[in-house]
Amino acid sequence: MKKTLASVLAVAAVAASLAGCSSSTSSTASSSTASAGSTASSQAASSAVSDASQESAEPAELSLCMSQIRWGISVDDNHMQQWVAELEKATNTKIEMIAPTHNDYMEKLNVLLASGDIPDIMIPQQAWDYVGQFAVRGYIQPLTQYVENDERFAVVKSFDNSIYQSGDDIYGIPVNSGNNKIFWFRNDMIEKYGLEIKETMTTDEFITELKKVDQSEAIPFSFPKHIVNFQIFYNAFGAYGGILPDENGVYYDGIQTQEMKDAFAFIKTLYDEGLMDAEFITNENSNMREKIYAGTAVSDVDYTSRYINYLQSASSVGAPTDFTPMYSLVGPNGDLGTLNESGNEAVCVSVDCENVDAAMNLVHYLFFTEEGRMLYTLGVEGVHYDIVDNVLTPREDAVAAGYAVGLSDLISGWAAVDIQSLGFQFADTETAQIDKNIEITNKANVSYVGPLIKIPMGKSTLYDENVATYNSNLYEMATKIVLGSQTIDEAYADYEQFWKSIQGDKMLEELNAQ
Amino acid sequence: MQVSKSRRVFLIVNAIFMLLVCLAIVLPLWMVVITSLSSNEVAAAEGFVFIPKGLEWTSYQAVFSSSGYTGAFIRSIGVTVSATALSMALTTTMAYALAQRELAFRKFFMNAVLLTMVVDGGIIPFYMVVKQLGMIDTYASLIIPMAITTYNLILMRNFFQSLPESLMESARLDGCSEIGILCRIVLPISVPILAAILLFYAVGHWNRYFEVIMFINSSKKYTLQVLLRQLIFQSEGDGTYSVQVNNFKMAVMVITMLPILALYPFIQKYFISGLMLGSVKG
Repeated sequence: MKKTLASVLAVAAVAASLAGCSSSTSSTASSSTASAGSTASSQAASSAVSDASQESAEPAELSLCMSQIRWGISVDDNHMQQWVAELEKATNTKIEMIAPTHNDYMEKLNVLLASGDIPDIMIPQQAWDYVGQFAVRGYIQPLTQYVENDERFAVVKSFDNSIYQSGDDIYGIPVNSGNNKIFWFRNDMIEKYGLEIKETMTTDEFITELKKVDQSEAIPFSFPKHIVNFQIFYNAFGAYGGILPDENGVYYDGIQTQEMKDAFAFIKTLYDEGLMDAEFITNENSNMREKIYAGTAVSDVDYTSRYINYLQSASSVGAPTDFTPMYSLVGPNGDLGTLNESGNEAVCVSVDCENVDAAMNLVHYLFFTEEGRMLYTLGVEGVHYDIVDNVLTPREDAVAAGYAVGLSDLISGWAAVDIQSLGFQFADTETAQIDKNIEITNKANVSYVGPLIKIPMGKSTLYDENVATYNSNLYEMATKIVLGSQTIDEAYADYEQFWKSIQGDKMLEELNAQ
Repeated sequence: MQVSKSRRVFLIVNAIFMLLVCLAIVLPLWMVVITSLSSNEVAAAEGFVFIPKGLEWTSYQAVFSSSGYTGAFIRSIGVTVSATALSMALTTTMAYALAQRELAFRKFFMNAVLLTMVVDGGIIPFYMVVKQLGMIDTYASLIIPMAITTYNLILMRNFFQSLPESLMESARLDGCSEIGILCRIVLPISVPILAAILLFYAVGHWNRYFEVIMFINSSKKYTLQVLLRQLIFQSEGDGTYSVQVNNFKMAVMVITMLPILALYPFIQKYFISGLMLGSVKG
């Protein structure tokens, strides 16, 4: 009896703990089969269903995957639900929310995609890398007809949509019209240390000025952990962290150039001299920003559209000051350029989406209409803010849940929102500040914009297979050089081996054969 | 009693060493608490505050001023309590069964259990299993897949094996069933190990973050840890979000620590002995 009972108990418990393993193989197979492609059939099905849903005027069901801070900015669930209700009402949809935290967004999205749970609408970060990869893997469907033929998205034609290209099709629509990162300096620190900050500065001037900062009092220059941002330094040396075409259209490896070695040497100097934040390798963007808000850092690298946010945040932590933009470093040969992050986030639609038209209606509303853009960046009146005496005033409970007026996103959006004629003012924000922010953003976009070169997927099998490894290897290599765990020569010796391992020369041949 | 010179030196060095160890634990905790009670200005200027400069509760007020926190807190408590209860029930019964020397295929079951410590399918197979079981976006996904921790199971099985067999034999002779033996004989004398494992499970379930992100889609089901982490890194994106400085972040840390800190004193007396007892026999 006891043997039987003990055996039953053990079998039940072991079976419970191992239950998962039994179905994993079959589920993987079925899921990958399901997600493996059939774009054409899903498109045909989707338009049929979408037509039907429009005729019946029933709300179209869509799953929308956006990071937690995109649903009205406040992370309070009550606020988020009311924001969703507004969006559903405006777009006649029923939305299934998928709202991972901002920092974990791509990890969650990758798991969803790989497991076949593809959200109808998703907004990948570093979209210039991921959109092409998702397209090649058959997760998302082409949006070429919308980009090229749909008048609602006509403004996107001014954007270099080839960064979202795979084969002959475009798979993503950029969320913002232009996003550039530049250098920001605190004015109180400029005065305190007598810094001479100009619109552009040579690399030598940059070092000279940063050296004037007393490092025991403040970090001269803070930087985030995202090594991809090193491109802002590469630009000054005419270097590019990737494979790119020369003036004749012949592809070459941007890493294997003297310009790139010079750029690495410059960044290493910044780090070794203590001018660059010693903690940069662990700095989230938020940590970097907090340092410059509080005045523990003199300068940093950030989006042009954050000027007003910088003013407000510095005030909120009791260290108010104005901020001066420095648009670009200028290298020994006169090269320059902002860190061009235009198209960092792009909207993609699942191959399995059954309501493509409804999905695109939602995309249009949220990112290409004034009303939608206001909802996206400002939230819902009476939930996130009130208009008090003609002034948009954030509600206290929303602020406690992270809400702040999203002027940055409003400025960088596709929809032409005329902030000056909205009929209300923004609390703690002067008209002149908004004008200045728009001017800074425009100047960066027009006069100093840096390169953004992405090779469309489908040109070379080897490139498609290795681009992710190539990028991560570059980030690792740059980190080792700057932190001093490898000399530049040692790093390049290792890189040579890496280049061979991914058949780099053959990859270039494939790209140049097109 | 005469204490030798070398012994005296050892005791002094030992005392200093232990004092340093204590300081290494207490000082960061002190800084966290003091920083959480500092004003925005002080926390922003100093980062971490060691010496109090005008304590205030504004950070805690900020955390609790939104209804979202209360809901998330209740959800976290609910998940932790139910998950810990299930974990304890399953771990105890399975450990008891595996501790029986007469159990058929005992070695096979034990190896199957140990295998899960070595082989990990990774997040995507894990996600697909949870999805196949229909648990995505349900609280069950935070409770059932993590119900048994192999390490805890082995610890408890070892403890059960160390109990005198004669106790169980006597009960069997008196006609007690296996469940009766487990509940009336084994569990009452296993309080130390139960308390230790309970704390392990409770802490594990309370701190759970990654699984919540992976298996839960809707924000209305997010637990406290997810909400608080998002608040800490709110200014991470390219948009505009209210800035959170260290006082707020440290207040968040204190709030997440408190429930477990509150639980610990009640089971502390069992804790160390439970661990030691479980580790005696392999």
